[in-house]
Amino acid sequence: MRIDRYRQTRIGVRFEVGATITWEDSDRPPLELVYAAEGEAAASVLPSGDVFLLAAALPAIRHGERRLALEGTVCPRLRDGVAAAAAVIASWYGEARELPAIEPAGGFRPGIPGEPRSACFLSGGVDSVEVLVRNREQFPPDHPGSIREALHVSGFPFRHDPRSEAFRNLRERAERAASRMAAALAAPLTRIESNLFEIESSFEFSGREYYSAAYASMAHLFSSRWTSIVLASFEQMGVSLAPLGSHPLLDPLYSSAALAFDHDTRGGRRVSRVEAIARAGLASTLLVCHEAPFPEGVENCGRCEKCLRTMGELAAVGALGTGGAFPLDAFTPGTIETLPVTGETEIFWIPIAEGLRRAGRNALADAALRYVGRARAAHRWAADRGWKGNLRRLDRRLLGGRLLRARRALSGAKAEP
Amino acid sequence: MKIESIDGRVETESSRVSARIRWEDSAREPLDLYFEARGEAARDVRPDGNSLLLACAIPAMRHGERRIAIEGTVCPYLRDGILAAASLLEAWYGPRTVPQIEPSAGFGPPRPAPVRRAAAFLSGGMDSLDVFVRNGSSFPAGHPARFAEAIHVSGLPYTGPPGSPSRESFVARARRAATALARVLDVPLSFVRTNLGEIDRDFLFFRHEYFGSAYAAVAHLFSRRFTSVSFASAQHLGVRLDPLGSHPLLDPLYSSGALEFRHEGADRGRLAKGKALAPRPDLVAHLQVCLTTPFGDARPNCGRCEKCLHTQIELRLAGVSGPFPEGALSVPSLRAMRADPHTAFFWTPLPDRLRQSGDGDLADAIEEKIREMDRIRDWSRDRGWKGLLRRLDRRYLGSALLDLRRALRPARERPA
Repeated sequence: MRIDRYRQTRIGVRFEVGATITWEDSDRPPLELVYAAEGEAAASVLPSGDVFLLAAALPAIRHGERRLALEGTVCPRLRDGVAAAAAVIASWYGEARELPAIEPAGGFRPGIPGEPRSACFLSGGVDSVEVLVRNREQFPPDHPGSIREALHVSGFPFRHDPRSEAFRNLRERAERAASRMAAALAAPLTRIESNLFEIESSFEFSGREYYSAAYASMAHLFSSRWTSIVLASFEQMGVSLAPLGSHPLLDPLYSSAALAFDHDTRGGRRVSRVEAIARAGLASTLLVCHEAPFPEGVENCGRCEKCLRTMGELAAVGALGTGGAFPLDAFTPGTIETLPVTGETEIFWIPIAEGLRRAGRNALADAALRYVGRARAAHRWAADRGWKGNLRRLDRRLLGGRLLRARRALSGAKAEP
Repeated sequence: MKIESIDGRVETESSRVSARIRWEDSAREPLDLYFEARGEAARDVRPDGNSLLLACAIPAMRHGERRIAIEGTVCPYLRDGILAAASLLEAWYGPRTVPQIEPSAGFGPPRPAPVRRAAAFLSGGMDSLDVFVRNGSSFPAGHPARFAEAIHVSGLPYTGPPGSPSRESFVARARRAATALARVLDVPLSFVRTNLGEIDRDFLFFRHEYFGSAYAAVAHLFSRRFTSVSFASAQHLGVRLDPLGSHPLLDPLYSSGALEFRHEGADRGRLAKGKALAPRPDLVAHLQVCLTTPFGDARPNCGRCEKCLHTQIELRLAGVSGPFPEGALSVPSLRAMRADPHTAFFWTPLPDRLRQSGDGDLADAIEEKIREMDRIRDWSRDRGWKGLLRRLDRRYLGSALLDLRRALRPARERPA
């Protein structure tokens, strides 16, 4: 893979940085990669080997590129970090991956960090808002650890087709939420968008491997302005730490000598994060829902797992009625009970059930616990846990699945009229 | 737990910080904790609530203390980091009591030193030496990420009471190695001597839960001088990442608003480290990796313990020899070595490489040892069909099969 023709342009208030990506070993078309920034820090964006290395390294590994030739220099700390990240990802998914030789034309040289200046990503959702709320509580404005600015990534990750109305609607809602949060928390906002997803369009790849490398690529555009940037963790330390494209083991590896890329796991349980946001009076501005499109004025659907979970958390800390981010009529035992089980989300619902019980909302607490029970049963089944799981494994291992076939035959026979 | 009577004394080339640690919920004797610093950076050492909190938080958690009352202020960023670390340790080892942190002057972030300055711990071993060598090749002199100084700690882990042969032998050998290495690296070295190891003398606790925060406690003593302090990793990302007291997930949580505590070097394994050090025989000559203590003479390494043996092979494969007794690396030494499954990851890459270099006998002996480690691990983890049977027996038959086997075995083994 070659990455060259770095460029930088300004169109009104929009500052663009780009480069051309050419695949050498994979039969894929070249790509004009573009980042476009608007807002407070937009004028600071600069192309660099670090930016494009982060954008391209994991897709290059995925598609078997043997080298990554870049213009300019690359920070040796980042070079080592990207290699380590590739090893971590390979160990998670058990697939042999060869990191391409990284060949910067200007060699490996560390950037010099500027005066300490911190920033954070701000999506408008629970995790990123809590990082900023907590930072405001921890550091006075003149402390170098105080977050000075926020960066909102428009339209990434790309759950919806970028040409669709759903994509446009979700992007606008997220931008609205982030702008309101940034204003409320005195963090001047910069918006950035990119066609990064065109390097590799798999949503699964993004979620499992690439997510934070892409975010880090955008962060490093600002390394002449910021010395550190925080990406909120949606993991809960000690509760869930699954292999994901953004992970406390991975993200710090995307730091250079000039810019530290921090994955913040200090936020505690999700219910505590929601409580901190409610305490700061910002619950009514939250955007947690990735469903789309919605009619004007609707920010969260109120029926998906993430909406119901957040409403549950707000109710658990006595703050559900504090704003209009969610349609409150959707938060009923019935909607919780009929919620499909997706992912290992029951970890969020246990503290919700406890909080609802403490708040005297027993019907909701019971519904939450029934959801937890359903989710656990589904995961037990999927993981072959319990005595039935043991039997299934023994059947597979020692009897070649005969018991399973017999059961299916019998239940099929029984089902016949 | 109370951390009180915090005191600091600074002299021209040395300083001392002390505090009294009193247990409130655990029936343990109070400890008069001290840190004594000597050398270049010693004049900037001051009593630091964050340092003392890091020294005590994980032991307090282990012994069920409900609070840590400490004189002065604590950084709120560090407080949240310690709470996150506690959650991670609970996930690894089961529920703990997470103490309330109660600083008498409240929570406030310390300000970092006015000039960015990086330092790292230099133990005298291979991991920390590799971190220094790589830092020197990545960052030019004067760069803020270049290690401007080194810190060597005596007293961690607990190796015996002061003056005991075990402690003095261990301390003296490591200190000699670090001194020599710092001289060759041309980096000013400061020494810290502490009795922090006495807060809990259990080596397994130190290893599994505590040593990252113990070293972070020392680092934070220097927060007026350094903005980052690096601690060398013994882990290998993507290959081996054990729940240990120093871990890439844990150590960064021990940073404050003033000082970043970096876990460094986990991106490569021992073979790569050996290869990186091979061009520097002037450094390798001073390596001290051996934890055997006491040790009868002035040699840095016994040459025959598990750590000495795999280090000798790693260096040999890189084409360099270290300060080990002549002939210590041999098939009989390998066979005599205790098989510890926790160290298997050091050994597994070695046989293939040894065969390629014509050392088939050593490779055979190591493979035999790895098989022994695997057997021990499989047994302890209930793997294989026997493991499955043991688990089913425990869960559904109340270990009746095990009891039966135990009842039958003595009869079978009874001589005719």
